[in-house]
Amino acid sequence: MKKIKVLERILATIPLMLGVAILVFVFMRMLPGDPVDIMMGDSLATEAEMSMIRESMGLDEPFGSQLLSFLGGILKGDLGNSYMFNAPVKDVILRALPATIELALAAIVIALLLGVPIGILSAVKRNSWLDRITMGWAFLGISMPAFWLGLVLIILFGVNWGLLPTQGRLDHFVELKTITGIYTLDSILTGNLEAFKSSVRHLLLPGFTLGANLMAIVARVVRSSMIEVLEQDYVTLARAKGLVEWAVVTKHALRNALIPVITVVGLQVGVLLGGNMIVEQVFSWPGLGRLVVDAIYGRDYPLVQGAVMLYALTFVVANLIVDILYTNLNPKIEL
Amino acid sequence: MLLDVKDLRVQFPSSRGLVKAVNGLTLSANKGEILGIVGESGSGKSMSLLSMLRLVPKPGEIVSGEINFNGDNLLKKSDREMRMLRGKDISMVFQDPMTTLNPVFPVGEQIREALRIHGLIKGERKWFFSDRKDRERERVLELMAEVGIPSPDLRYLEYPHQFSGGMQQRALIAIALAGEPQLLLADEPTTALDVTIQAQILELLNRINEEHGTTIILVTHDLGVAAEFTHRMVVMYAGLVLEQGPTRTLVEEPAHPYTQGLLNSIPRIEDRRKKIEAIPGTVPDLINMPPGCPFHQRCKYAKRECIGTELEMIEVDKGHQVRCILYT
Repeated sequence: MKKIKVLERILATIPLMLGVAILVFVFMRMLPGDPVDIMMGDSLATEAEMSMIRESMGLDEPFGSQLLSFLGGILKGDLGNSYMFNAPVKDVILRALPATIELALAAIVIALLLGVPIGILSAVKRNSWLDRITMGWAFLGISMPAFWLGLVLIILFGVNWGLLPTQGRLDHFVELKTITGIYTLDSILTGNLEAFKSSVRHLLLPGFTLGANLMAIVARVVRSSMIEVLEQDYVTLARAKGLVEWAVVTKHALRNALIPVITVVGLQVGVLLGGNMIVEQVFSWPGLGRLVVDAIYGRDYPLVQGAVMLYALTFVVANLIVDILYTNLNPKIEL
Repeated sequence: MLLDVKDLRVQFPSSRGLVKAVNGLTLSANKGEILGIVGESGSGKSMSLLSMLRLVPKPGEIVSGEINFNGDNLLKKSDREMRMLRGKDISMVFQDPMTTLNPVFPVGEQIREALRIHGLIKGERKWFFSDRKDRERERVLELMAEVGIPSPDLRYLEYPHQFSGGMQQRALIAIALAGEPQLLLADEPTTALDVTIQAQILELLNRINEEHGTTIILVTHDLGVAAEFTHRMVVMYAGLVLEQGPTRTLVEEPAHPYTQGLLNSIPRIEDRRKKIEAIPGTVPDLINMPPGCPFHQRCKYAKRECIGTELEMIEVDKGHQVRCILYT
């Protein structure tokens, strides 16, 4: 039963993705500027040469037939060729994607590892000085823009104290055989301790910068939902059974309090994967975000289209995963 | 005497002032009896029960008094000692079964937890694995059968929302019984249930009392329930005991005007002509309590002396005490 529902949800994404494809196609072409002009830059190409290039890229065809061939390509799993890299969009994206995924995962892990305990502590010690301080910081975390936080962290940890690297994914002297492209995972798979340490060190600052916002949101959501749950009868029952307080909190209360947190984190996963252009720029992280920014400047239509579709797919998949997790956490809900 | 509460006071700070939820409660429960605590909502019944487990919700606080259980004052015990008692020597059944079971854990596992916490079932080691969990499961199935949950092995892994209200309350009683407690505190255990289910649950509590000799304190606002299922009764009003005595005596010859009022407000099928008499007014404000008898504002026998005179309990008959100026 459950498997059928999941399959239904997956099938339902197909028309959605087609809609996204059409929208991004139309919007990209509404932008002023011509890809060939930008590609040629100041070079002394003649009008004839330019139109030849245009022809070879299919840009001279009428708008409608361009759209149709784009959609047809999608159905065949072909997203076209990137203008800037002169390579299939799929390959270009897949090359940048692992870095972005790794950064987003690091951000989520950091956000949860810090946000959940902070939220619990604030709820249990409600209205204490600890609660006030942590919630004050959480407020700051929500309001602080990532580019500013990133710069502050670079200045403090990189420039002033020299503790952590501020650019790239790996120290230049470290060698790593890539399998998945997610360096921490690859270094574990190949048993390369040095690379593991280096990649984790490189992840800390950008991961924290990207995750700070989510961490603050998680801490506040955990706190408020925990306060509500701690007043429930089943928590009193857990105490009346003779359970120690930390077990009451972490077992009986937390499991219930996490249900709303899953929604928030799930929705933010899409944001983290798609919205990290600024963080990737600040930390020179060679991921999808930077790639897309470049692609937009270069009017690399196929690349932008491919990336946007990937972002949309991420949101859909994240939502689906949230719903599945939901049913696992809350037995009352079915898909 | 199993439980002996002396001059217990529980207070809650609020923005308007101190709420005196329990205001000098004195009562005792003998081994093996079912003691009823009767009173309107807001009379401090539930808070009294929660104080016996020292689980008064914050910011409420037990400010004074003694709760002697088997001769030991519970208010002097450490948190750890208190935890060892909860769910083992003293268990509690709550008012609303729908919200008292944790929605995210299977019912059977919640009962098993009650065994696990106090290490009640010892396992035997076979190689590296203990069979404790299996034995606990066996015991849980026994408990579920005892409280009348049909086909326990099928229902063990079901979640609370798959249980009916009556079945949930049975499961909660199974949790309470897991530690084989000497004292079972039942806080309005049937209020949230249908009438037919109410009778079944009360029968079950009665059977537990008879078969295990468990002392039960049954808190209820329903005098009919108390009259039928308790041996002795305590009538509470505004955090204070107004009358106590054997259930029969209290029902047949109630001494306090409040108890009389409560009895007159029960509709009776055999006496249709008699009009139901409601007690006028409401429970006094627990922040600004009237001095003297808390009931004087609603009492038809009230005299001037009722205001301002703090009365002790007066013995009107053997084991029957009342707090009223009419008996001085």
